[in-house]
Amino acid sequence: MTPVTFRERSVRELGTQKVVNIGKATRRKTADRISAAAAYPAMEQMRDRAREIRLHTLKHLSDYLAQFADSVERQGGQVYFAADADEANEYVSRLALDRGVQKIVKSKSMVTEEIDLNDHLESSGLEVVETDLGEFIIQIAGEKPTHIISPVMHKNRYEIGELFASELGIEYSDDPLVLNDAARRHLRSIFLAADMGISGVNFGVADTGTITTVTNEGNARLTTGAPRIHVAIMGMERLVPNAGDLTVMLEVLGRSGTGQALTVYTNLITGPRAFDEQDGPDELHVVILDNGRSEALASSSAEILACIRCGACLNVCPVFREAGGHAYGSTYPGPIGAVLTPALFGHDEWGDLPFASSLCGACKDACPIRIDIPSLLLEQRAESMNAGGGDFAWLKPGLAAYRRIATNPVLWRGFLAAGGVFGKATGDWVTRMPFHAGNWTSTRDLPAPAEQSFHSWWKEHRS
Amino acid sequence: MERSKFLARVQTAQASAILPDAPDADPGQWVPDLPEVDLTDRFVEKAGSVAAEIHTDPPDAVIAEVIGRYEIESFMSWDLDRIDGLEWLPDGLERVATETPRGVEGRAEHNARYMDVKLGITGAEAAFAETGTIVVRSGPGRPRMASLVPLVHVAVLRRDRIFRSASHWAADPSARMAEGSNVVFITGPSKTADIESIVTRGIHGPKHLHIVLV
Repeated sequence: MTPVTFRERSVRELGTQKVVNIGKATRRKTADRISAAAAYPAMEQMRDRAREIRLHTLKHLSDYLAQFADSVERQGGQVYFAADADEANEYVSRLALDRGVQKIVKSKSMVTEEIDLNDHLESSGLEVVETDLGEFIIQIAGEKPTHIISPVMHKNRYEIGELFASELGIEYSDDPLVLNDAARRHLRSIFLAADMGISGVNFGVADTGTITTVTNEGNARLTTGAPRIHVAIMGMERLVPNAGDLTVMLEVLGRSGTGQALTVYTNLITGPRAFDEQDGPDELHVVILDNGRSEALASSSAEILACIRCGACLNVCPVFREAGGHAYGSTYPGPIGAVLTPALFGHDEWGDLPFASSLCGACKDACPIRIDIPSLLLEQRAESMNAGGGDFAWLKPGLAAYRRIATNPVLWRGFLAAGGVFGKATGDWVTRMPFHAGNWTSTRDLPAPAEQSFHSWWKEHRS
Repeated sequence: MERSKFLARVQTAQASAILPDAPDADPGQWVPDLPEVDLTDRFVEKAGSVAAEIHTDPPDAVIAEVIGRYEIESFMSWDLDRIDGLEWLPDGLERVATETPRGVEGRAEHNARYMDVKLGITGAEAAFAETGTIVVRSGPGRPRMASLVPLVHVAVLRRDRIFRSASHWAADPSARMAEGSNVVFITGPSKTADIESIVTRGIHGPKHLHIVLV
């Protein structure tokens, strides 16, 4: 179990202004996604196709990884395989120090959040600036993202206005356009002076060695194009076989993530600047990261690696909407995070996350890849229990006792009769139960058992 | 980690992965079934819906109009012979150089000139009607920064290069996705909605996108 549990973190978040902001934004994003899907006659075909592409790629991942690495190298890029966060961080910081890099710009990347790359680079004396507007706001506020595609969803414009006034030294404004223009000016000068740009990768294309970044702002284009070195960090599962597969994925990503038919800038990068080109980076490095993914691939939750990080499941999740992203304590929040986090990083620390769900199924319905998230949550719950976390020690003997009662007619009738007496005594709702059963009623009420069981009622009335 | 060890670990993992409906063969090239439409009309409608401005006047007239409208004093551009359908570049305006020095020296000084450039002129080699997108490819005489750093981007597009969707383009032999170190699909001007989901334009890239059909 985590030292701090989901329950403890969510209690801190519930009802705060943060969560009010998140509630508004997630509902709006969900409405946008639904209307974008409805406006595109091929959406359901696209989703089927996207699922096939992702599952096929996972099933043959080692072949596609080998092909991808060969293609990147053939185009003049360098590939590094990182088994874990430490190897990836070491590679990037050593490269930066080796090349005399001082200033680094980053475009939004969850995988770099996952490995805490910024902290690592800063501790090596390097200056790192986030350039996605949301991530930039998070960085100057000294916080963590709350949503995988809208990191600053939990702040409103007044809070951001005050932050810009104190951190950027501009006059206070809560007009988003004024804040937009202030950030443009501030970040533009940083971009143009940077030595290294670090990006994530939305998709890698195995047969061409192309990597893609998808942004609305254009910060990934500046990050990957203006500095002399570009480092792209990619979770090893994020490949598609070819260009035709890529366009399918891009169309479902935009519509599912933000309700856009296509994101503003889809940036396809194949190798560094060519000998006859006028701009672009001198060097391209692609870091391919495992960091628990091969364990997840070998587990009963392999399907979670088909995720394309659109965030649709977060936006529809009643738990995410009420508790917010920070309640999960993990880089990946929401339904996807509740499966992915324990699958990647183990149940000792993250075993309670799969329980942060009502299993309503909204996530499965929203997922463009039709990932069966509720079933995977159940798989992860079973693994948490089998890992023997403290909270579950009582559950196995408890269920064994229940099984004994429920499979013996005499005991069962006695149990029901006792329930009837109990029900009469408590009124309409049971709000408190003794011993471990109290865990259940601490967050919900239970309708009181009827005084008479259906079984005995039927006996009296069937004739 | 060594490549061979890394890949061996993945291979072992995928052998026991539970992915019951994973197809064995690559699903392959495919385009969605979409209703027949007039490609130009559809493109104009969709590009307009993402805040691009579409022009059908001759490109030199459009560029002259844009220069007046935004009070433009400097511009950057692709080489004229790289822009299909354009025969004239603005005279009397400062043209910002795009040849970027290689190596450590001089790059930051060169890049500093991009701070305030207002107009970028490029071609566009294809477009997607369904999403209002243009395809802009880097290469000799076609710097990638020209479509990115200026406040206003003017792109010249041949009507016969409009495809139904991104997938239709990818299926066409002319797509050659890996040719040139950078191919970008541009769907409207730069935007963000990170502050309260309110859309603002021009956060990093151009605030205004003008597409000239020829």
